[in-house]
Amino acid sequence: MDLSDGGVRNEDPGAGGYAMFTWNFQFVSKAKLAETFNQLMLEREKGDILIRIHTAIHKGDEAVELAAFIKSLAPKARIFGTSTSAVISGGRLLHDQCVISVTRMNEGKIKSARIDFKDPESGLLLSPDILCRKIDEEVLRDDTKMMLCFVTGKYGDVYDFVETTNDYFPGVQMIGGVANAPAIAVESFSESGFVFDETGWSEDSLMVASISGRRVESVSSYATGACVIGDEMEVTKTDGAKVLTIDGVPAPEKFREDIGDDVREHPELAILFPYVYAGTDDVPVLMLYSEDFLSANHNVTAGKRIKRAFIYDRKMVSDNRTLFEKIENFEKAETIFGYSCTARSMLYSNCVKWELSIYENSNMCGCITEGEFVWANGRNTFANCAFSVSAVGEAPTVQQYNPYVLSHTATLKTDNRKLIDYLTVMEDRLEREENYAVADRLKEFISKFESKILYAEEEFMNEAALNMDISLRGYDRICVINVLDTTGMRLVFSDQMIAATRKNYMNKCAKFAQSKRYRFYLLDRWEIVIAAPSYMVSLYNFSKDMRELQKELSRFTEEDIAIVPVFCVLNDCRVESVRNVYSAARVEMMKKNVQFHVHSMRESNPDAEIMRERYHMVNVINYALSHDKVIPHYQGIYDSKENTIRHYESLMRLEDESGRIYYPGEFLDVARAYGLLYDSLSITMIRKVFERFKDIEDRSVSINLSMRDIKNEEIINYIYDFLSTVAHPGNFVFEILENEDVDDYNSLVRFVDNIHRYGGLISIDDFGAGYSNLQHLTSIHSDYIKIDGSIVRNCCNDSESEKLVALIMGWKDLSDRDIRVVAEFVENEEICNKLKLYNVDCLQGYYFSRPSTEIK
Amino acid sequence: MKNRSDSLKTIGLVVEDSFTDFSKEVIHSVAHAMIGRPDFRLVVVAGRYDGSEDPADKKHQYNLVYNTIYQLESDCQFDGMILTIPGAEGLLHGLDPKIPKVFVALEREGETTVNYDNETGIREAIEYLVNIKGVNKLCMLGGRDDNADAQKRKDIFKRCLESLNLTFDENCYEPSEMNIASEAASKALLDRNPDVQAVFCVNDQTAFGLYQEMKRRGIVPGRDVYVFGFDNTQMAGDMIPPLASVGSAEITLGQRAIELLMMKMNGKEVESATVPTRLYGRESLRYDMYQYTAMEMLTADHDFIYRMFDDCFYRYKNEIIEPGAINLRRLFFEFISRMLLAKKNRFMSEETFWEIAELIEIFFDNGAMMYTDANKFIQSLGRLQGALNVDQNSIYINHKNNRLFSMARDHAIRSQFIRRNTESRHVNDGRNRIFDFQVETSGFMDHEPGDLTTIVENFSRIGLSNAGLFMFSEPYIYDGKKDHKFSDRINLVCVTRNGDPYVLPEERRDTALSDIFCREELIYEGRGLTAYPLFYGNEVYGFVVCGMTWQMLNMGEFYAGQLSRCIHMNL
Repeated sequence: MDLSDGGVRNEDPGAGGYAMFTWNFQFVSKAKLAETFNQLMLEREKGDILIRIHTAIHKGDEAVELAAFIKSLAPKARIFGTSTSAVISGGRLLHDQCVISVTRMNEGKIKSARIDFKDPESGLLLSPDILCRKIDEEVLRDDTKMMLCFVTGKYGDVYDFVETTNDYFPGVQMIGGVANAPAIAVESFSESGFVFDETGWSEDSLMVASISGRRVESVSSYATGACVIGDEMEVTKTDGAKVLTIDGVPAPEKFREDIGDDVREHPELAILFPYVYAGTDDVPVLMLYSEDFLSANHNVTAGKRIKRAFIYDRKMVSDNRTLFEKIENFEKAETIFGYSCTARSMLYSNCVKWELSIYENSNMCGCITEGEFVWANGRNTFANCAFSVSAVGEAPTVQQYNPYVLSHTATLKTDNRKLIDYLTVMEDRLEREENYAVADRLKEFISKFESKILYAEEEFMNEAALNMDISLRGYDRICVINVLDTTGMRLVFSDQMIAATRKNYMNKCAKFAQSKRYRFYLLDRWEIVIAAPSYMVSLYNFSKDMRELQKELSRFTEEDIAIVPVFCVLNDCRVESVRNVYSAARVEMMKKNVQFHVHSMRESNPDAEIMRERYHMVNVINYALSHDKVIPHYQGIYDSKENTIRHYESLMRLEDESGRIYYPGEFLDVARAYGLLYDSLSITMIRKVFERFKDIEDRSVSINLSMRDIKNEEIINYIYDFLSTVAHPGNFVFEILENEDVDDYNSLVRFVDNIHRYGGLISIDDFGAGYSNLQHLTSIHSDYIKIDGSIVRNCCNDSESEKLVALIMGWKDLSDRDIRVVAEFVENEEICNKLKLYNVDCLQGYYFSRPSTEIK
Repeated sequence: MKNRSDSLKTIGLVVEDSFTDFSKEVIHSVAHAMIGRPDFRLVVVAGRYDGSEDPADKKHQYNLVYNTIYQLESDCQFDGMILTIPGAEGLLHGLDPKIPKVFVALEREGETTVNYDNETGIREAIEYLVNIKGVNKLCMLGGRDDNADAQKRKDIFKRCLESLNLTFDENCYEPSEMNIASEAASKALLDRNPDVQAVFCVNDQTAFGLYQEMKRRGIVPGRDVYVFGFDNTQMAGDMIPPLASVGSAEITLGQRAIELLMMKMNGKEVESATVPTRLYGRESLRYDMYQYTAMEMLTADHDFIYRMFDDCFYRYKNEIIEPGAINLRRLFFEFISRMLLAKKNRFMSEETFWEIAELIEIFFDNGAMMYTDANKFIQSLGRLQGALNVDQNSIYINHKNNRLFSMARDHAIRSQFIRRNTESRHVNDGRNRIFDFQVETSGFMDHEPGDLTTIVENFSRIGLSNAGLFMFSEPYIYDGKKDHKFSDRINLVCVTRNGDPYVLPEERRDTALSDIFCREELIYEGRGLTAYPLFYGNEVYGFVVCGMTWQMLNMGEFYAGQLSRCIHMNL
């Protein structure tokens, strides 16, 4: 005999004797059985003993022999035997096994009896009243708390019998059910099981045992997972256990109306859709389908109001949670009985395994039955498709449970998937067969419940929950995940596709968070937070996991829209500052264009300094604009052919209240960021330069323009107007900055053409630096090109730079265009001489002239 | 020292020996204080204490050459220095006065120093012994005469006795070398004072020798004679029975020193500081630093749980914890509070139970035991458990809590076991590697003297994961003169990076001696770098510069010594 998980032996300090205990074991052989009983030393101790045998491997006579053998080992014990298709032992469902559970009481009393429910003379079934009276005589005591009872399927009035017990022994919790036959098969559904003790076995008997005692306490509960759908209906005609019509319609027809014709070929599908009585919403009434009637083993009579129900995972989970809480909170849970329905084990096989595994480490023992007695709302009642659990004990004790099961419900989905698949197929078929009315009803049904079943996890925790967890539970390591530019997505993709992508994205995140035992919150449509407490996981590991998730999310399937979620890990979060810090972190991420960033709240925020600088700069610019402190400086450009300075480049300077001069490097970025400021600066500058040079004949000037300026209608129109009115438009050269990507080529070309038409000139600035593109040389008809200062500066000590200058001059020679080359940053004589060697047309730099407000 | 960039600053930590518990403690706390300061790097230069003047003493000869390593401290211009070399004051002659410096556990005129406030802790111990335990015969196992700290502790010992109306008798005092080889001194002290009731050891290491001698005589510390030490090093908790010791109360010497140094480097004026001390009670003195009351436990008071943590894991609050690490203090609070709450509410769900079990596992997996000593923890836990079990009204909760307590104990024991096992495995591993290295570099068939190729190629076998082998072109010959000077140039011959070997090409080897801690090839692991001299007889071949790990502090000198011998044989 295999000693499986036994109960904990518990010395009860108040009782002065031996405490109640329970041992469960699977039957291996008689020898092993004898050895184990010997070890248990049952006979040396006081107390009544109940030995339950649930067997799926013995026929009637064998079972009796086993019972007799056990009785010989423990003569005082009461034997309570039933047949079954599968046993439950230690929270596992075992097919083709026999389980023996020994419960020894301390003070409590056990009585048991096997009572025939057939009248020996007439062969008729005894009425529930007579049975109850017999039970009362045989086993009941004043202090009976719990009654273990099994009948066989041959007793048709089980429902009435259970209801009647409430009148005879109110308050006594009944557990047990209808014993089923050893082989699990749909065909054997109507075959009867049997009950037995050491004196014999019978298919026409009822086995009952009472557990009584002053200190005995018990608790019972059940889970079904049944959820009501649809309206109330009335059973209109019955014949015994047969339901003939519902709402006046033949019952099978009514049934098919709701779930389709497939039930004709697969009557077992009916189990998926049990009825419930209006009123007791979660006790299913199973009806078997046949072509002429529905048969129920409940006492379904005409006039009863019923509702259609079905069984789905979330209800299953919540029912089981309620059930488990009751059992877990019960301190005296020494012996745990668990009975589950055969219908359940067939259609919800995953579910049964799942719900049993909650009790995996406990000493739960029981079996599969054809119907269960449950204790609902203070009454005993008969239910189908239920999982009923009872615990009984005399003194506080300790049981092990496995409650994590309640949060790992993935296996349940399989069952539901099957259900939904079936319904979808049905819907299709009905439509093809032009049975639209039924198809529509089914469709409505599916759309109503599909979301409930499959997307149960859509209900996420929100920001309030996050804040609570941060402040109360120390979840101060968080990762904010967001998908940007979802507006753009809407332009291209259908709403359904976006919804599917979002669902997939969230489910991936949620599942990942769950697998790592992090918490998951949904803040906004696409904004997700995953949080962990700093006392559970190091920042390093948390970030590593988040990177893994990011990688996971970037694996798209074909149905999905490609999204790039940005991850921002924040360390040391506090509720009051989490939003601010997140914003700061996001700014940093934008700046660096990164999609993953770790930000610690403790770090001093270097951005604050930068931001302060920025705002200072904005003030300076505003001041300069409003106080006429945008000051053009002019740097002379030396013409190496004529050896004179006749051309100037205009350079912008700003001055603040204190007279300090600001250079473009300091303010241009800020001005660009505030686009309008930049525009104002540009136009002011251009105006001033024009004003200064419009009446000078022998001096020319360059003005820097950026792509932004060229796209600004106001500016270019001003330039065109000016050029068309000025006397010497050829004195004005427009330097186009190449450091910005020229994204709008057409407007650039148009601008260049227009300038030429008005008689102005064009120069390409910073040639050879940054984004410069040789293509500009060919497509933009510039009059000047300016070699980038970094090349010029190095041309004496770096041969590669020198070669570049040579290359540009060589190109100029080859080209037949009239183009002049300007070199800037000519800082000393050495550079000057070198450039002269290459015949560079114009030289600009400190060696010749420094920028000043004056023109010589 | 020329830095890689202006923003990177190097801090030199000069210690007497790298392997003593005191030095390790200082190195550890300085290294930890620099966590999260990527702009600073730590370089440890460790010499060897040399107590002998006898020219014929082999150990003295060895130490003299070994201590040429101190030359690095002036050759490599550090940006700041922390010095703690009580026995080698003579070596501090040529220090550049411009470099900001802080001296630890040293008295020096006109310099910034950080010292223990020796008195508070010693007084706490002596008053406890005299007033509570009724002891009237106390002895002291003192230190070297040239050690200012040791002398101060002796004075305080004397003062404390006198203030308690006990007389100090020179018979009750015995100087020692302040290291674990103090058995002879202990023997002399015990011989003279057979009726001694309590012994104060000038530091924890000295107590080790005393323990040995007491064991030989069948005297049990804490039962027959009370013993307490000083410095509260890791070693104190590891001794059997654990040694009560006086240690820093709030902040460690190393942390204070680095604080002051940073201020000095930023150009601020700083004053010398003292670090307050207190007594850390353990078996050898049966002293509870903090007593829990049953009331506190049963009300599951927040402050109480944190106080219990600070008491139990007393090293944690002195530690600078990386901001990304697991917050053990909060974690402790989480599981203890849940246990206490369950007791209060008389209900603990199975789910909570396993959650707590998981928290306990995380707690110990993340090195909680590094911050306490096993006995201290187990005792505190036992007291808490006992108090919770007194109330028998819910055996269900008691059962669950007791299971959790025993889980915690199991984890504690297991993590201690793993720590010890790992340590000894490291030592064995190191020994095997050295052996392997020696075999590889000393074959006889193709052995050609003057060829170091095999050594260079097999350098990674020694098992230094991040290290560089620096060698002079010609060995430097130590001539015994005080003002020796290494060559300015040295060759970085090969490096290991995360265990992988790289032999440098000839043309890239040459480097300035002052740059040996700055070569890009070395990986700076965040805790610090340290150097060991390679020498045999009076020939100094160069240095091994490596990432500072615990293993290196223990074994570095041994590795370097073996490597030196191989070089010597191949030259």
